[in-house]
Amino acid sequence: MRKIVIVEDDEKLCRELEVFLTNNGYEAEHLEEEACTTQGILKKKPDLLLLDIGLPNTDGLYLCRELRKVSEIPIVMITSQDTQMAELMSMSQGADDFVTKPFHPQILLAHMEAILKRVYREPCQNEKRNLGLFVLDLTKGIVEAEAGSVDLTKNELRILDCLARHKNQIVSRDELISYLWDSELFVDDNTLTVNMTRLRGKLSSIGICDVIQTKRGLGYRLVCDTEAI
Amino acid sequence: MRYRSYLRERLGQLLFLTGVLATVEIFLLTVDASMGIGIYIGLCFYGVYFLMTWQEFRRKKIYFLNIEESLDGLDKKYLLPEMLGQPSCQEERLLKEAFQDLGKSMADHVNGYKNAENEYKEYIELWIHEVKTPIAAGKLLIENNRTEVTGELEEELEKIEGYTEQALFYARSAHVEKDYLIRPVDLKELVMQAVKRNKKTLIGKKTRIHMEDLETEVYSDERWLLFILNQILSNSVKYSDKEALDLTFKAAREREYTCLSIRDNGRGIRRKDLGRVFEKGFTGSKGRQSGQATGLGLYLCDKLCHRLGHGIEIESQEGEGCQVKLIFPKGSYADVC
Repeated sequence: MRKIVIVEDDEKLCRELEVFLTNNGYEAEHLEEEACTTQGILKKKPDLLLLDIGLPNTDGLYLCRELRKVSEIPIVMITSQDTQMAELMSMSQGADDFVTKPFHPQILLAHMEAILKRVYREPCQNEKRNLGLFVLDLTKGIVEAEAGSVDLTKNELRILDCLARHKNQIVSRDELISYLWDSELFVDDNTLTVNMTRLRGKLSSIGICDVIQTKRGLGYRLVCDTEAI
Repeated sequence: MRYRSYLRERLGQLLFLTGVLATVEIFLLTVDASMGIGIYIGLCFYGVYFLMTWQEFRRKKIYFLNIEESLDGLDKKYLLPEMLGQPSCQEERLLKEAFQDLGKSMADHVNGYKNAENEYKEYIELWIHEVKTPIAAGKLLIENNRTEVTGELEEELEKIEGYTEQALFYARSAHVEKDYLIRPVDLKELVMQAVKRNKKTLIGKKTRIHMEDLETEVYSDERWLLFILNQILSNSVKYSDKEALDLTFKAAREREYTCLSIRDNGRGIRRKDLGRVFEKGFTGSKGRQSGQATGLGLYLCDKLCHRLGHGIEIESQEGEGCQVKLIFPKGSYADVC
């Protein structure tokens, strides 16, 4: 589990960030004001540092520069100053990325994931999803089952991926569309219906039937618990 | 300035002179001087007087003509004292000093307002930066506690964010020079960013997105352009009344310019309102009805476009939708960059 250290003066934001990061599978910890020094930060041995520029007793940019002298840990700057100048300063002081408040939580997460992946070169564990009756291979874009395998289009792949992330939970149509839009696939309501029908057809062609249930007025649900079928 | 009116103003002097001349003539009559001497003295009297006043008049006329011309030629009229040369007499010196005092006092007065305005602007910018932290915290709170209610709350929070951004850009729009950076901007990337940013409201309106030929670059400031696109998109959402909103983004490369058009299928704008949509505070009959219009969005777009050297045009058929065109001229400087 990757450890994220948060240096931010707003207590509430700090706490919520911790909860959010913990919910998303990170170990998150924030630093007290007094501990906001180079040694204080390094003692926590973070894998990634979220650093606010405007700190009460010290300056985020200064901390960033000092840290860079002794350490190579990835640093993401957070600031409410959305000027080009602030961005330029952060990058030139050695920060790896720059996110402006009010950031969208998922976007912050995406930025962090990208950096962690690059720095630590993790073999991506999420590329294959075992969903009980079948396996979704995201890199190859195929679904494998006992009866054979089938190719999926980009849209179908994303839909199945989104449902798989929330397996056994109801995902609303709007959430699905929103997830697809995040991947720059701007589908509309009708296209989603068409894709869904095709996806079901493809799955049943390799013998997987009724894994995607329609909940009228609510959305869809991917059932992957073997006993539930 | 005319000599005749100049003389009329000195009627008293002339009468006094005539009086003095009359006593001299009476005196000459009593001493039995010849007629010729009387006429000669009279002519001399008037001759010298007119010569002296004429010369004075010429000097003054030239001085005031100079002032008039300087004023006409000056863009900033209050710089007049700097344009006046060395004063040639006491009067001119006093006048120049008076002008200088006047200018200085006005400058102080104006500076007072300038400082107040700057302070206010700084305060607004600071306030906006402060308010971003609670908005960010609010978003995280919602993300950590997803329910039906927080979903709606998120929409409201996004509206607040939108209005805050608008306020920030409004405060800054007077001083764009301070904060822009012209770089090549990828249109497709930019449009996608704008769409993603508004995805919550767009998906709520069941939007169909169409993108045509967007694989091109324009020279602009990304942040400002994104703001402009955001305003246009939020207008499309506000004034859509069909079951599904159709949004078409299209780029066209011409010889002289690149044009990005954004077309929707909303309510459109009335013909009589069309010419006024870029005015500050203009809400139009439809905007007033819905009560959502601030009359600022397009005004700011126009202002920022103007600053960035882009063109903005709007075309609309009532009931059919409207189309906003952003025009990026290919200036010669763009080739240099």
